[in-house]
Amino acid sequence: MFAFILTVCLLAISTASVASASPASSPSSSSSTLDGEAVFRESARRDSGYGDFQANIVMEITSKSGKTVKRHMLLANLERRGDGAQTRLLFENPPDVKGTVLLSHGHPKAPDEQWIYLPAFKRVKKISGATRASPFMASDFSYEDILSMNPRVEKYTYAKLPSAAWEGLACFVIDRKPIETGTGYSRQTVWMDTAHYLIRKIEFFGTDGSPSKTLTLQDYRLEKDRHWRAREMHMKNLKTGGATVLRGSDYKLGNGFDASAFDPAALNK
Amino acid sequence: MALGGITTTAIALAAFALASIAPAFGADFSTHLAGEATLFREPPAHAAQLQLSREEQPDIAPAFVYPALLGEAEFNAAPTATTTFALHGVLRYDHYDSRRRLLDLPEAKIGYAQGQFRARLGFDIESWGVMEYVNTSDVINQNDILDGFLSKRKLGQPMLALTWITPFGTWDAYALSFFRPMPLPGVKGRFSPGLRTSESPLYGSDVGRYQTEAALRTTGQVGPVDFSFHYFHGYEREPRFLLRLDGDGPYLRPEYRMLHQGGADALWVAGDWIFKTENAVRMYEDGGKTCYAGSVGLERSFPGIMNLLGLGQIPALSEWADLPWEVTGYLEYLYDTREASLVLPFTDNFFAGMRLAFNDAQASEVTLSLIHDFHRSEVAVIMGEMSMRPLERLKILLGGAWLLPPASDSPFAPLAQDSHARAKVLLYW
Repeated sequence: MFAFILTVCLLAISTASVASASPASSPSSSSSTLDGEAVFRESARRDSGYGDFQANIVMEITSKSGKTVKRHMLLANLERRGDGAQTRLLFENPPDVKGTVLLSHGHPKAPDEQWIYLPAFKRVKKISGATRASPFMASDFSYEDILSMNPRVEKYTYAKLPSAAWEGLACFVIDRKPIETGTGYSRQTVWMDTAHYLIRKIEFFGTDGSPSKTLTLQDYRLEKDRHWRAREMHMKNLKTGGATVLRGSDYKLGNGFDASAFDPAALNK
Repeated sequence: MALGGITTTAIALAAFALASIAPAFGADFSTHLAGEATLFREPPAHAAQLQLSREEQPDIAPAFVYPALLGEAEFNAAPTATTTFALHGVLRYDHYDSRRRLLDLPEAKIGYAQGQFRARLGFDIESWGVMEYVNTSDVINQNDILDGFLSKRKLGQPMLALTWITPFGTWDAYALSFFRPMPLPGVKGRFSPGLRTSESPLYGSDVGRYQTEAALRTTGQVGPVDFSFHYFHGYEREPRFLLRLDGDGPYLRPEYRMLHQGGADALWVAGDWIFKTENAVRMYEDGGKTCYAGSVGLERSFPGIMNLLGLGQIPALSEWADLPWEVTGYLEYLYDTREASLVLPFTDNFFAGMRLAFNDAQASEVTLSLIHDFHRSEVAVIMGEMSMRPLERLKILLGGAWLLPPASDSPFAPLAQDSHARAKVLLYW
């Protein structure tokens, strides 16, 4: 599940594109006429065709008391034409879970699937959707948070709000509500820049309607002249006072990954 | 493989040496050491065990403490883009029970991957099945029953395994040899059948442990249902015990019969629920009765359990309302037509389990299990374990099993006084 989350995060990051240094700009006349769903479709279209990528991920989890722990992961992602994307996340620490793999498949419409490989038992175990709202590796990200960054347009309904600026960038502001039941959120408000259709900020609201978390994505960089990837994602938990930063490095696109490497049956081979 | 102190020390030094040179070759090495103490409130049920225990622990009685040291080391390398090498060693030194002293290679293999094909040669472990408690279809490796009460640790098995991964399913073919007989406790060991056990098993094949075994398995998915089918030809993994007599009195000699096993598993994820079933049919070459074993079960996770239970509404507990505690529940039923024994204790049993994950940085969690024997209308076992990681490289496990007074015909009858607690401290580097 963790892997999927991260994959999706990175996908989301790559989905839009706007360098942090980009000047503020107003929505063009054509983009301003798009409805919320069309904006997300355009964002997904712009990042399609990346094939696959891998990256090193460092996650810094800071508790309310200020104590910080670091987690290291190796992320691999495979674009599945017409069937979403798959993510494989290999945990490199802490040492008692080293070698654990989380494999996720985010489908465009069908329920997402996740498997976890437990090296101590050489066992691959499928995970139910009930854990979507659970914390990812005790962080302030949930499995669902990562999924929500994946441009799977069909899994939400959209309402476009008045455009606004975020850190000097002109942004679409769109409310989206999950269609599937069992999520940890009633809605999300997404800031997506109008220049490159990259997600810049998401405000999450709990099932009781109150603000629960805020995610900001920073340091977007262009890969292969077309695909943007955010190097940092900051999640602030408004309920617990904790915060988590995901930092990605060593991005490499177009590795030629074989689909069989993302088959759950291959995890223990 | 029994170990002496010098052997143990030599292996430990070799592990350290490997750890120091691994990075220079771009390889990955990790290891951990663990200290373990198992505490029994009551003396052993068997006279020989009791006498030996008192001789060795005169000052500790009536509590009986069985200490052990454990170590594991893993070395992984990928010399080329298509080949891998893995070496995983396990070392266990039990203070009292020499039979529990172990040097095992769960993994010592060369792997090859090219496109949809995988090949592995060497010692390896395979885990089949979808159930949480008992995997009736799991037949490739031998269980290390001396690791702990109802432990699921397995011993490495030499094999050649070929895998073909297709969009329509995965096919695995196995050729096995050098059969690993189940390790059985010595006279001083607990969880004992009450009689001496022989280390020289009887085999259903004239070539003994050099018999070649074969297996074929296919796994796939249809909609939300994952399934697998398998066939296996070789030795049964749970031996029968034959009562024998020598100059020291009666003893038990294990016998491994040749069998053909076929089976099917299925797992269905239906939203937040998981439904599963696992089945196997065993046909013995010696003409013994054909046996069936099958199980059904379900699993469900409940994240944010404090809010789900409404405890967050209670003013005194309101601060806990948003804690990310998660409960996962398991219910399973198993029916097996084979005759129950200490190495096959479950034949008509209900399993209920609960895992509470605190989802904190220490990975704290608590598991509880209850096993009910329908055949004897008795609760057989209650088990529990707490684990946490107080430091990045330190993990602590506290657990135990309470064996309720079993019926005289219960497979657990020899363990009537073996309720115990266990503490384990693991240090990683």
